[in-house]
Amino acid sequence: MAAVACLATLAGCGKAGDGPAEPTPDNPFRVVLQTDWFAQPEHGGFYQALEKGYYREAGLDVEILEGGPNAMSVQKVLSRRAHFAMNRADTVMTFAKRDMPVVMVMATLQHDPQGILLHADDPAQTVEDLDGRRVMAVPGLAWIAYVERKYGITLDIIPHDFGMDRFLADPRFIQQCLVTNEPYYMEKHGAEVRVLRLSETGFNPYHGIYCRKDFAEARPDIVQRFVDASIRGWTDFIEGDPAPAFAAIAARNPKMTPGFMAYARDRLVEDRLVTGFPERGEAVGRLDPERMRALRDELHALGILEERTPLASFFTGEFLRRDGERPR
Amino acid sequence: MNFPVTYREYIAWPLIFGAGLIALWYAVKHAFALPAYTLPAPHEVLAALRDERGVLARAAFATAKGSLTGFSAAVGLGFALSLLIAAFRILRIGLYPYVIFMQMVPIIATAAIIVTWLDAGLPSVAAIAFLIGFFPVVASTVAGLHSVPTKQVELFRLYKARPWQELFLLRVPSSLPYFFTGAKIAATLAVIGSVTGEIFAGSTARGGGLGFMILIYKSSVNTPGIFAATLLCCILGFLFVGTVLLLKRMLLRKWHDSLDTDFNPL
Repeated sequence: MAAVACLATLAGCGKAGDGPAEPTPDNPFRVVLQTDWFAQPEHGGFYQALEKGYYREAGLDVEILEGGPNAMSVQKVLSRRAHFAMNRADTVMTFAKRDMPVVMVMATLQHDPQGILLHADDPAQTVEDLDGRRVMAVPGLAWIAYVERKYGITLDIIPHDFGMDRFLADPRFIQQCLVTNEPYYMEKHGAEVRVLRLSETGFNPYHGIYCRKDFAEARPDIVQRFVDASIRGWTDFIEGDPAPAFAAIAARNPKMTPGFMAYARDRLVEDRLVTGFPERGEAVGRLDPERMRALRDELHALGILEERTPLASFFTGEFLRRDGERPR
Repeated sequence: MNFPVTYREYIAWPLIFGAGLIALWYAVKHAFALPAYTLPAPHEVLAALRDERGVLARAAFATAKGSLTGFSAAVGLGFALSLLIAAFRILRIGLYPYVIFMQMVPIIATAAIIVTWLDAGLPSVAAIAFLIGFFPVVASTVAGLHSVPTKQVELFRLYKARPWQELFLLRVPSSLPYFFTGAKIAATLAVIGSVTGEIFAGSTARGGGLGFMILIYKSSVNTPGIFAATLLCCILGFLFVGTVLLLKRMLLRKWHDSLDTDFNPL
């Protein structure tokens, strides 16, 4: 019986989603954001918006849930235990392929911060050179199939343990990383490292926020408020003083030292991961339908997506319609 | 209440209950309108099995190899250590408690350590399958070596049998049913150990293994795939235990009347 009750919860029998029709700062709408990892500077804009009261001003009472290797974010969104969660565009496309009713509503990162971390003296100079090499990564992620098929190479993937010991112990070890993260810690431990950025291979999905389709349809006003306040938070985090977000992140995750947080934010700022390149029409939060289409077509051409999943099934530009931009 | 059970019943009842369980599965899925990514229907699991048959066959082979290596080592070394413990009183008093203690170590914690020692691949996976089966084999076999009827031991001593004669001609033969109980536990656990091992130490180069495939299906949200891989784990475990029971039957047919209990649930 307990199992059946459990499944009923999984099916999502009305959870989050109800709230005032016209929320105000005094009568806010409660919103849950599930992040993809423990609190870290890569989530800075959301913490900045929370700490500086941007959500509250927008009539939202936002709770940020930390993620981790077992966050089960999409299950939380599907079962309405969270309104919003984060992931890469390629994964959200996979969700659509599995008939999960979610749509991406804004970007957090314009460019993919994923990379492959090597020791500085490793002979491999490009991703192509990794043919046959052992790489610690999250098995099943789209970038693996992408680089294997694009370059006609084979990687020997071993499961990621989200640690650093094996890299530090083995001078030929290679692992998947975020450019904003592992290089800092490895260098702190005395390793000289190099990163092959996945975005240079052409695999460059947005990182963004998604929610249930029916939530976006039922309460577009709430999604709009959340997107606007989050973009405000991110802009302030990148252009202004990140101290409020840093304080909130460090309070939740004591491993986050000021030195690391400054490093990660520098990467976000200098590599234009959040703001993108304005000359290419990129901006904080922006999702360009053309880029989405191009990514989908390339994943399809490489056989990673079995069909050309319609854009509308995983993405909407509805909440980013400033500057006269319209989703096509 | 010892009614004779016909072979027809041995086939009919499992089929009836199996059909009932599958009906319940469909009913739950239908009642709560559960999508495939939450609970795939049995036919969707079979479809995943068909679509993924190439990779899953390779993975099942890798898992079988890891399990078999670990299981063989667990049985071989476990039996050897049991003999030593039975032969030397010091070992029995000093070491045996630790053997019992080691059974309590959660394999998932050991797996994380072993992969840092042995690196990813078959050695790690087999080592984990070995560790999970080794201690049950020793515990059961030692118990068997010490549960020889006193009268038989007295008889051996009366005829001035040497200690090695007592061990190999009396204790070892009469411990065999216990040994096979341990081996049966090790066979069940070998597949579990191997799959756990692959979640930490799988690698595409060695066909991944079923545990590794479960990771892949998890990150590509392929729930029917996870179910299909799990089904194969069960089948593999079943084959392992079946083989051990068959060996037991072949070896002990003439000796022990405890034999039929594994096959006859009544």
